[in-house]
Amino acid sequence: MNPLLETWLVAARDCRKNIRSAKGIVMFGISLLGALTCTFKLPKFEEAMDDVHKLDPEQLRQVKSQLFAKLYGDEATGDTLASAPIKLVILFFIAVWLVPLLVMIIGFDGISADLQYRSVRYWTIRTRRASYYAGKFMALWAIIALVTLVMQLMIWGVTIVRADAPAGETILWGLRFWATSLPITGAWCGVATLASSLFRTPMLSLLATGATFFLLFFVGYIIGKGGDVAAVRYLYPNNFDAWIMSAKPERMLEGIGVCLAYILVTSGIGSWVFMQRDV
Amino acid sequence: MAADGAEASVAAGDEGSAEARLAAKLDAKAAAKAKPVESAEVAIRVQGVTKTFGLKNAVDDLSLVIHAGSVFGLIGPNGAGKTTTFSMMAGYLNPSSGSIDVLGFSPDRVEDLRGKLGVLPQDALLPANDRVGEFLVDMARLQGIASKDATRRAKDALEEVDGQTWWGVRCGALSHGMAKRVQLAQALLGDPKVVLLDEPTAGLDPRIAYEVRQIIKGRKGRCTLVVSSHNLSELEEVCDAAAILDRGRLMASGTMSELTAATEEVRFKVPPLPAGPILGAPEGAAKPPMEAIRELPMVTIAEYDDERGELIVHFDRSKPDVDAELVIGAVLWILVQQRVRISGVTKGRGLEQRVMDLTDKP
Repeated sequence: MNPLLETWLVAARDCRKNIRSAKGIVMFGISLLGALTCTFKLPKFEEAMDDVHKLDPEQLRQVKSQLFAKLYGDEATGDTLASAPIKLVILFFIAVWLVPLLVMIIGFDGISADLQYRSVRYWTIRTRRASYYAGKFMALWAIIALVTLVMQLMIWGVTIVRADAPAGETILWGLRFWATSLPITGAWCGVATLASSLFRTPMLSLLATGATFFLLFFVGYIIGKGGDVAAVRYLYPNNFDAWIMSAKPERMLEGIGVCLAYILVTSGIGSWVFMQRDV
Repeated sequence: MAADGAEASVAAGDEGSAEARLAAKLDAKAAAKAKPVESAEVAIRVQGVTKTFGLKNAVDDLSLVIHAGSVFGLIGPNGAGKTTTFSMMAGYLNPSSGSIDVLGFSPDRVEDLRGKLGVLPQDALLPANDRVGEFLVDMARLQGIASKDATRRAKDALEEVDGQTWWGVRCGALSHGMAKRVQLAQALLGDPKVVLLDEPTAGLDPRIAYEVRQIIKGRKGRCTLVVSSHNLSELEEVCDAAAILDRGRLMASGTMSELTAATEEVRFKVPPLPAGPILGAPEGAAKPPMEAIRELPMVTIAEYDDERGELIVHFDRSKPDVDAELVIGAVLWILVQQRVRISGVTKGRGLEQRVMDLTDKP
């Protein structure tokens, strides 16, 4: 059997399991709640910024452009993002920060629970272990992508209904933001699947995933970005959004490439270890 | 009167009407589907396998050959290395040294063994949120069964374990016995050539355990079955051959007759007479007439074990026309003439006794 078909069968089954599981439903609910809160709190945020509302559209655009340029370290990117509906930009920030939490909570027991209860033994006599591993990774990626898409859809709906931005513009920008979050989500899923495959006890896997994520945040964000140490900046996947959002194609490709490299390295190590280990 | 395991199981099958119907159904299915496997072929070869966990050798330099089409038992006390051996055969564990071939392939060659190897692992839980039907269909698809046939094959496997009505039930809602049978169904799915069953009847009530044994018997000749179990009478009943393990080492292996010495000795349960007069029992009939038995031409050794109330008769099977049945007839004739009370006859020493003799010695 084609390894891709094996991977697809494992991933499809795992997606179904995640959607049905109590944990999946609760996480889905929490994400929706987050999106709803974000939706209804934003108008109040906007009201609070009366000064901003007093600005004419061009001045407002300038402010946004400068703000985003500072955030992403690139004027061209700031200028591009200034045209995007503000709600979608804020949701994108929230989604990128929320992704590691979602990945950790949904992904920590992806493989470790199967190892703990030895259910993995039904699969390992039927699939290559690398396919099983890849299927688990793909399923986690797909589930998180689905959750963030639902969050996006809610915000798009509210933006369109409130006539904050034209429908076409909202959907195009929304899709772009969601697509930007996908490679970053993939990088986090790679780390979570690796951590999950190394432990037989889901609780240990959860702790290891959390500790690893925090370590990446500390080294890649606090030291790398805050301390301006370029060498370790690549360790923190949430740093890649600035590159993927960049108006410069080469920078955007670099961001996507780094995410893919992240996925390949973590999945390569994870599946190699999984192939060698006793189950 | 006790007979050997195979005879006993036939008698049991004839007695209960529901059980007899099940046995007949399984036999008919087996006959319809049977494709006898060439017995000279080797299905599994274990060569000098050692498995170490830390400093402990769970399996120590084990070598075995399991012939195609046979039902092979892995026997031994707790910690003997049965499940470790089983897990290496299934590819769950990697041997520390040595090699294992299943149908000529290393067990981790999933692409070569896909659909040819079925496994019932001992402690593997079914995925609790999956429905039985979708779990079996998923397994069938991963075995390479085309999607259009997967549902039918999954239903066939579920029917074989008498679980047709569980198709839509969540695996987490199954009782222990039902879950065990679903696990058995996934192991038998797609008619694999080699089926490994680890403790297939552990924790099952006697009726379901009987049904599982009938399923195993129904597969005899259609595939190679390796059964690991603590239940020695069960193994004696279903297995053609076995290996006895203790502390990771092979203590003995061979056909069931060889292991139980069924072709070399017969045992008569002759309990000593209780004190006081017994109706119909002649004076001094507490012990069997040993001299008369020893004078039988085919008998080489005859002993009476007072403690166990057992007469043990060894015979020379190299003589023409001498077999266990002939010896049983001749000795019984003498015992009946002497009006000795007989409560059982067995060929060989019984698997349990053999295992006791071989295992757990300091």
